[in-house]
Amino acid sequence: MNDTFMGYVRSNGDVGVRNHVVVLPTIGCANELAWRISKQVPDSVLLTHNHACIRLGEDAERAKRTLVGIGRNPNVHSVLVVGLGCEPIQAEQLAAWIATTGKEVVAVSVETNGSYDAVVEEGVARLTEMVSHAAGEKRVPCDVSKLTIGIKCGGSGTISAVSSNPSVGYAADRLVDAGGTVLFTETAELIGAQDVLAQRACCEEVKVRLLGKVDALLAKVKQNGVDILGSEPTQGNILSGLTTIEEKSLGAISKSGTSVLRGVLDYAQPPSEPGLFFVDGTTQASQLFVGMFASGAQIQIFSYGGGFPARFRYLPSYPPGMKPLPVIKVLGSSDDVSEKEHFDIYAGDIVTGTESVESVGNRIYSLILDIASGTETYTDVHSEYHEMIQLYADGLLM
Amino acid sequence: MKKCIVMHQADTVATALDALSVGDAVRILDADMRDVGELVAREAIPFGHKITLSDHAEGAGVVKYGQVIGRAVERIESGRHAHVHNVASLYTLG
Repeated sequence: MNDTFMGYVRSNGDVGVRNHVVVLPTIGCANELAWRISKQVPDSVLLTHNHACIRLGEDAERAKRTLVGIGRNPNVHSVLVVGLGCEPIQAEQLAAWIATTGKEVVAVSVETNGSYDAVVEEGVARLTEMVSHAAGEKRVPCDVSKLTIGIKCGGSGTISAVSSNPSVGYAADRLVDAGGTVLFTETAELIGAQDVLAQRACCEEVKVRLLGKVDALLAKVKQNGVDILGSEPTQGNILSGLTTIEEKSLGAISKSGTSVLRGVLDYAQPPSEPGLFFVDGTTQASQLFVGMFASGAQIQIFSYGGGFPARFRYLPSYPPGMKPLPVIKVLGSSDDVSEKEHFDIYAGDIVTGTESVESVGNRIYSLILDIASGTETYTDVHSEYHEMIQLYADGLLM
Repeated sequence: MKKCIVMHQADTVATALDALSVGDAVRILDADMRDVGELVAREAIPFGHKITLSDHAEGAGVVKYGQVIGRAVERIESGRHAHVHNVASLYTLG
């Protein structure tokens, strides 16, 4: 029998590990209005962001996918969409896309409601109702196969690949074996490891798609006439012993475990079946986590190497303000043992030979179930830092 | 004894699990933490940095995880610090 956790079952069968009522502006220009509504309803969660009319083509599509995906995520109980009337994605349209999940979604906008004051009044009234509905929801036992976990590594050094990444990979394998879903990303950190990862592709089509994503990034680097050294690996990575992007990538992919790669998704695209998926996209933590959430991740794991960045304490708390996405922080380096109390899992005993990868991996897996059942993460408990969501863009901005 | 870890049997470098000083005898562990040999550090190598397990001719591939992670930009003897000063990515412009 599979393991279970206590989750919120949604009407479409998805399961939330959190139960937030979200206030989602359609565009950055509606942030202030959304804030004014949200601050009058204390248990609501405000997710301001930087979408603007300046995005074109794929960037505009990606922004749309991201906003829709945020609303659809099962950790979100219901959504108040706050719009203006002159933006590229209208509030009613965004609400309709989110409502395909069957969840409660209400759109308010200056255009439809008639005035700024009317939007605030209607928004506060409807949001208060939604918060009251959410409070009535109860956790029930759910199969672990209902979980989707996002994985990122950061503060990477050579030790990441000895301790934190393989432990996270071990937990990822357990989740995939149990019928769950695991997402990992960071296209730049496949450079030099793409052929190794491609051998795990379930079929030729996935293999070709994976290699195509890396080739496209390399072509873009070349087209820009820049050298990735300095960004990949970063100066921090180099201080922690990583020499080349190949070395960094080969260590980074161990966080995905050893499962078959079922598919390659675009940023903020949800998978169509369970299993392990690579998501094409940025390495920048806050944009990355938002994309994982929009792809359906209910929990995010941040596999931390160590080194100087480990002392920044809340750095892996990204994305600041994404309260609906709990982040489990794993610290890998025994050199930073003094910081271990600021992480959810310490994997550094692997380095000193006093704990096995399997043992740490099992601890991570157990913690995933606990967090899924409502236990708060270190960051949930210790940091209220909040900032606007930055939507990922890689094209021309007007 | 101080330790280093070799991630794959084909590797030409290992990762220092302790800060190494010149002349240190270093135990070599495999990825499952089993003792597979010993070598001497010929220079100081910080925690987490790489020590060469064999001599590398200029231009030779530096192997870790069983894969080429870069090329030696100069001759590197066994027991030396392999890093950005003497190893270059195959993906850089230069």
